[in-house]
Formats: sequence, structure tokens, C-alpha cells
Amino acid sequence: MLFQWRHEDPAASTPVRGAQHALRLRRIFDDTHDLAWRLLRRFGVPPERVEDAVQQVFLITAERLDDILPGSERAFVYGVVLGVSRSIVRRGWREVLGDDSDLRSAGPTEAEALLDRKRLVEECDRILDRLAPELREVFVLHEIEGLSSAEVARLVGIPQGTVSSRLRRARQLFRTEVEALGAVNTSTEVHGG
Amino acid sequence: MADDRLLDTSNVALERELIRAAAEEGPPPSVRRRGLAALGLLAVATPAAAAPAALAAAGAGKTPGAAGLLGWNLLFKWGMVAAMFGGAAVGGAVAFEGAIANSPPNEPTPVVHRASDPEGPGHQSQATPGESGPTRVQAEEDRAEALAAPPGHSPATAAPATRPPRGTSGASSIREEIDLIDRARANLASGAPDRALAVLRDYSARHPRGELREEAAVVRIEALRAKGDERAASAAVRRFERRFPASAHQDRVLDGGTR
Repeated sequence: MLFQWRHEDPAASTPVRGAQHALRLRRIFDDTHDLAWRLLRRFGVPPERVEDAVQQVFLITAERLDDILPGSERAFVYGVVLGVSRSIVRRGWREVLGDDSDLRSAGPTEAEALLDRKRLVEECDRILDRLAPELREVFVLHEIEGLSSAEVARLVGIPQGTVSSRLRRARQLFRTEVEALGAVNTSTEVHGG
Repeated sequence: MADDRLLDTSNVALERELIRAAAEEGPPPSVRRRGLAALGLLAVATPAAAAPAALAAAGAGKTPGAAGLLGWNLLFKWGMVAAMFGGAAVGGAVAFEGAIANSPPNEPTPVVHRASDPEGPGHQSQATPGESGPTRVQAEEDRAEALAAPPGHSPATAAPATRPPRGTSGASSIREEIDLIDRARANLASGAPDRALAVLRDYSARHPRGELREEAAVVRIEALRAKGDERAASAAVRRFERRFPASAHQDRVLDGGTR
């Protein structure tokens, strides 16, 4: 059987409950999987660890499914992603490998576009790597994922004013890095040919 | 803080492009399939029409509708597949690392096992040139191709719940499918691959859209190999690879070296 029950409770461990459980979990998965994957990447989880981390997120979600209020599933997953990413990054994982599998399977023109896209994402992550974790979280959630400041405040568990100040600082640092990157690219174009 | 985003307001094009690229990045489809498999959710469909009601019932603790019961049947099915195929189809229990929260002590919590079915239950026909002649094979292959979802499609859209209902009830039909596959395996194990193939032909006839077609295809390849019909086995393997490109049975199927 796909589901076994750790604590036998005749009222709860029925097939019907199992089906409800699985359907709800599948719906949450469909709604939030890509989001969780992307957030873990942006929060600094190394590529080779992201898939495991995503699975960890949904295993936790499965475990806590009964505690999640209907309508708050997405917020729950956001919170779990934050916790998992903090746990991994805190343990000192570092990005050491790249995954070029999508490039290998693409045609020449498509590969160029993917490469451009991939480089942009890599540059973005490189800049994010230079932000302090607390600045990075706020920046990613607002600027990349589009959460409002109030949503970020609730999710991260800080006052909205703190979100604003962190975001302001993160924007300044991000802009500085972007301008440096732009200067390097311009310089390369001018001097390199 | 204004809720404006740099993506909309920045006057630096590179800054906007960096953020846009990061915001639009997504995982490869294979990652999603593996995630579903790890949770045992590949066979659980959430069709657009049925899912909201079923999930609302699930969230509110109400009695589920047909979709919920079908979901259980499918879970039952994959559990049985797990029992039949052992390690090849199902890995050990997925370890849960409670980094965030622990379940309440009295809460019955599911232990999720890995399931195999990257594309949903199979789309494999059972006929081969060595058994039934090319005309029947082509017809069955065409039908199987028509039933099979295109590569890269959403597992949810290909999931069994979206298929037309069969003549028998879900549970009894699945039980019969399991019985037939069991019989085929028993014949194969007892050194009677021809009888196994006959049972599988019976399976194909009775369950042309069966939930266990992928598993039947695996047993069939093994039976053809046991029979010494390498040519038919190779053809069956190629079809299997085409129709179940991310199958958890791939290693098992390819181990025979008859590609």
C-alpha cells in the first residue's frame, strides 16, 4: 500500500481518508512545485541539492497536511521552503556543479536562447549570493516572486517596516552589482571586440 | 514600502532582464515527475472538472465523491504493483527529515513510499510480430499511440481518472488486472513463458486501456526473453522506451540487453 499509518486510528486510517489526503496533496504539489523549486534555487540551495530539497518540502507538507487550513496551502509551502533552504544553506552547502542537460537536448538556435537565459539566471544568482540571507529572502520573495510587503512580513515573521528597510538595502546592493556587471559587459564589448 | 517591483519600474534593462529570467525559470519536467513518484502521487489525478469538488470535500472533511474513491483505487493499484514488482517498481520508504515541524503525536501520518509511473499508468499494447502478425501489431500500436499522451505532457492530464469509465467497477477491474498479471508472472516463474504470454494476450484483450499496461509490458518483455525470442523482445523494448521514456522499469527492461 502506498500509505501506511504510523498511529492506528480506525476513524482516520480508512481508504476514504487516504484518497482525500492524496488528492489534496497532489493538488498542492501541482500548484506549488515549480514555485518551491525556483525559490530554493534563488535562496541559494545548490543545483545538485534542489531536487532533494523540493522532495523534502513536499514530504513535510504530506506529514502536516491535516494541519494546513484550506486556502493557506501556498503560504504553508512558502514557509516550508524558507525553513528547508535556511537549513541547507546554514549547513554550508556551496554551489559546485552546473546542470547543462537542457542545453544538451536543445537545437543550436534554441540552445543559444537557453544559454542566454541560463547566463542571466546564473548572474542573478551570483548577485543574490552576495546578499546577506535576510536581505536575499526579502528581495527574492518581493522582486522575483512578486509577494507584497505585507505577505513577505507575515511569511518571514518580521514587521512590515523591517521588510521595507531590508528591501531598500537589498535593492541598493543588487543595483550596484548589476551596474558593475553592465560595466564589465560594456567594457568587454568595447575592448574585446 | 511601495509594492512596485523592479521588474516593472527599474530603468536599468539588465536589472529587469536578470529578475525576469530568475522569475521565469522552472524545473525540467523530469524533476516534477520524480517528485510525484517519490510521493506516490503519479496515479492520483486532479482533473480540472473533478478535482475542485473532491479537494473541497477533502479539505472540509466531507465524504469524497467518485474522484476521491478512484484516487484510492489507484493508490491501491500502485500498492499492489509495488508488491508485485518489489524493488524495481518501488523503493524503500522515503525518509522524512523533520527539519521544520513534527506531526502531533496522536496524528495518523502517512508513510509515503516511492511509486513508479512517470507518465501515469501504461499505454503498452501486448501484441508483437512474433505472436500475432504485423497487421494486428500495427493496429494495436496505433491504438496505443493514440491513447498515449505526448512527451512532456502534464501527468495530471494523462492520469487514469480522465479516462472513460470501463465496463467494470474500478476496484474489481483493477483486481482482475492484478490477478492476470500475477498469473502471467507465476507462469513465467515456473518456466512457462508461452503460457505467460497467453495470459498477457488475455489481459490485453480484457483490458485494452488497463491501468497495469506498463507492468504487463515489462512482464511480456521478460517472457519473450525467457522464450528466447530476442527479436520480439527487442521490438518490445523499443516500444517500451518510446512509450514510457521515464519509466522506473527502464533499468529492469534494459538489463536484458536486447535493445
